Amino acid sequence: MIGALLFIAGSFFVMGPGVAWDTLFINPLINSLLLLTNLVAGQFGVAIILFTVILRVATIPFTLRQLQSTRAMQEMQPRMQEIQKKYKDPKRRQEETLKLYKETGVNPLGCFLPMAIQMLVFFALYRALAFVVGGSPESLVGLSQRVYPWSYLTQSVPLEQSFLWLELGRPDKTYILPLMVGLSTYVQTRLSQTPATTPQQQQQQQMMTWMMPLVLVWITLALPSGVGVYWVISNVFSVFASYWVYGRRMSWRALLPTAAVTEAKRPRPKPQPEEQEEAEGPAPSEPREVRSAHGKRRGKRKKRR
Amino acid sequence: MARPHPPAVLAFLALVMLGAAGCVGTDNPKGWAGPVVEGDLLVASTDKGKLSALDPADDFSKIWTFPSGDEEPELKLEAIYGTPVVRGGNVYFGAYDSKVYALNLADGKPVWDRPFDTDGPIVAGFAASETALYAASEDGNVYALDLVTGSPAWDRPFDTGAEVWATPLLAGDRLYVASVNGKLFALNATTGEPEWDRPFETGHGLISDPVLADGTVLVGGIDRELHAVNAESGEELWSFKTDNWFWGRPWVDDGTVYAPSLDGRLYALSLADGKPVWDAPFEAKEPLRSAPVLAGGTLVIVDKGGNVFGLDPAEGSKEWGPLELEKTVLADPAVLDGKVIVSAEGGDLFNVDPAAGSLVVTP
Repeated sequence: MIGALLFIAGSFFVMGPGVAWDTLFINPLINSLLLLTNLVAGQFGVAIILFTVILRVATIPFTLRQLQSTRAMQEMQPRMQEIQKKYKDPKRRQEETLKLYKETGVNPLGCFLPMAIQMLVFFALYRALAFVVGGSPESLVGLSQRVYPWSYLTQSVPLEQSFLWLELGRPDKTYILPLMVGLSTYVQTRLSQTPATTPQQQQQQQMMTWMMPLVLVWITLALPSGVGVYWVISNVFSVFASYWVYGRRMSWRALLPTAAVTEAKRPRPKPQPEEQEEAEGPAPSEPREVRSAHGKRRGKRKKRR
Repeated sequence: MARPHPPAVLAFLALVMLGAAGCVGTDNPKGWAGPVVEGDLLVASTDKGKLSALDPADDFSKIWTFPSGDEEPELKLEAIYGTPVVRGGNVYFGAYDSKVYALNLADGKPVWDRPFDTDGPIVAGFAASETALYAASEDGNVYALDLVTGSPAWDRPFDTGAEVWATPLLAGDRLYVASVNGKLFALNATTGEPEWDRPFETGHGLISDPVLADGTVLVGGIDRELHAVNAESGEELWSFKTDNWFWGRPWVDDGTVYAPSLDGRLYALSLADGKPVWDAPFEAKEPLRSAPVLAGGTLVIVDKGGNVFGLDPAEGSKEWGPLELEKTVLADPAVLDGKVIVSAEGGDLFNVDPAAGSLVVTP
C-alpha cells in the first residue's frame, strides 16, 4: 500500500500532475471501460455497472474497515459521552479521547480512505466518460490518443450511449437518475454516520446528511448519466455492505429524518456532583465506571481487565 | 478531535461542486466545418454554430451570417462540422441540431420553406449533384433531397445501420457512404438502392471521407487502417496500417495518396499497391485530423495544435514550418487564389502563403 502511494507520488513528481493523472488513472479507466463494454456485447451501461461492482469488490477491505470503524465508534459512544461530561478542559478532554481511541483500537479517520477512493473514481470516471461517450466528435479525437494499441478495445467505438431511459453521455433530463442518486446517497450517509457526542457534532451530521445528497443531485443534473449510474450502484453496494456488517443490529428506523431529529433533541443527563468534582481534579489512571444505559456492557469490560 | 469541522465539510463540498462544474462543458460540440471557396466569396463557420459569407477582396469582411440572431424563434445550430456545399447559387450545410439548411449564397436567407429534419446530429458534410443533395446523419440514414425544395428525392432514406460521420462521395450516378459500423456502401444515386452484392466491411468504424481515384475508393477508420477498395466490386485492393485512427480525408495526386493519421504522421502511399513512397512518413507535432492540400507545388498540412507545415510532395521533406497558429485545428483547409485558408476552432481564419510559409493576413 505504502509502495503504491510512493509510486503514485513519484509519478506525479516525475511526469507532472496532468500527465500522471491521465497515465495512472484516466487512461486505464477508459481502456477498462472499453474492454468491459466489448465483453458485454457493446452494452456500455452494463459495463459501467460491472465496473462499479468490480471496483467495490476490489476495495472491500477498505469498506469493511470503514464500517467496522463506524460500528466501534457507535459502541464506544457511552464512554465518549462520559469523557465529554467529565472533563471540561479541552486539552485534557482531547487527551482522554485519544487514549480511548488507542485503547479500543478505533481509527477515527478510518472512513476517509474509502470516501477518498470513491471521490477519486467519481472524478476520474467523469473525465473518462467525457472521452468515451463524450457526446461530441471532438471528444473522440481525444479518445483516439488514449486508447491502448489493441484493436479489440476499439471494436465498440463509438459506444452505444442508450441505456434504459438514459443517454449515458448526457445528463438525465427526466430527473429520475438525480433523484436516485440523492436518495441512495442519503441512505448511505445515514448508515455510515457515527452517533454524535455533542450538539455541535449533531449539527454537523445533520448538515452532512442533507447537504451531501443535495449537492450530488445538483451535480448529477449537469454530469453525464453514466457517472450517476456509477454513484447509484456504488451506494447500493455500500448499503448491502452495511447490512452484512451490522446484520440485525442495523436500525432501518435511523434512516427516517424524524429519528435523526429526535436523537438530536434528546436531553442529556446532568453530570453528577462527584463527577464534576473529579473532572477538575487530577486525571484518573483508568476510566471509571459510570451508571448508564450501557452500564452492563461497561461492567463486562471492567471484568475483562 | 478528528471529526470534520463545518468549514472543512463545506470546503470539501464546494471543491466537489467546483471540480464538477469545471469539468462540465469540456466536451461540448464545437464544430470543424472547413471553409469553401465559391467565385469571389469564402463561406466559412466563423463562430460556433454560425455560417458566414466573407469577401476576401475586402479584408474578409462578413457579407452575411446565419443565423443572424433576428430569427423568431431564436435559432441555435449548436455546431457545424461538415464543409458546406455550394450549388446553383445556394449553400447547403448540416448542423449538430439535426437539420439540413439551404441558404441563398448572395444574402444568406433560407431557400427552403423549412430546414429538413433528421433524427440525429449531422457531423458529415454533403455531396451534391445538379439536382439532388445527399445528406447523412447520426441517425444512420442517408437522405437524397431536392436541391430546390428540400423534399425527399428517394422513396425512403437508406439506412446504413449506424451513425455516418464521413461525407458521402458522389461519382457519376453512384454514391459511396462510409458508416461507423465499419461498412462502406455503394448506392445508386437516383434510387438509393445498394449496387454492390454486399458492402465492404471492416470490424471497426469507417470515419474518414471516402475519396475516389483511378477506380479506387480510399477510406480509413478506427481500425487504424487506410483501405483501398475497388469502386466497382467493393473488394479490398490493399490496406495500410498505422499507429492510430484515420479520420482526415486523404489527398490524391499523380498516383500518390497523402493520408493524415491521428498518430500525427502524414503517409505517402502508392495508389496502385499501398506501398510507402517516402523513406519515412512526415511527423507533425500533434494528431492530424484535417486533410492535406497541395497548393503551388507545396503540400500543406495542419496538425491539431495549429502547427502548419509545408512539405515537398515528392520526398516528404519539410520545406518550412511549423508555422504556429496557437489554435486547435480540426477542419479541412481550402485553397483561395493559391493561398491556404485554415479555419481554427472557434472560427478564426488564417491565410497561409504556401510558398513563403507565412501568414498573409489574419481575417
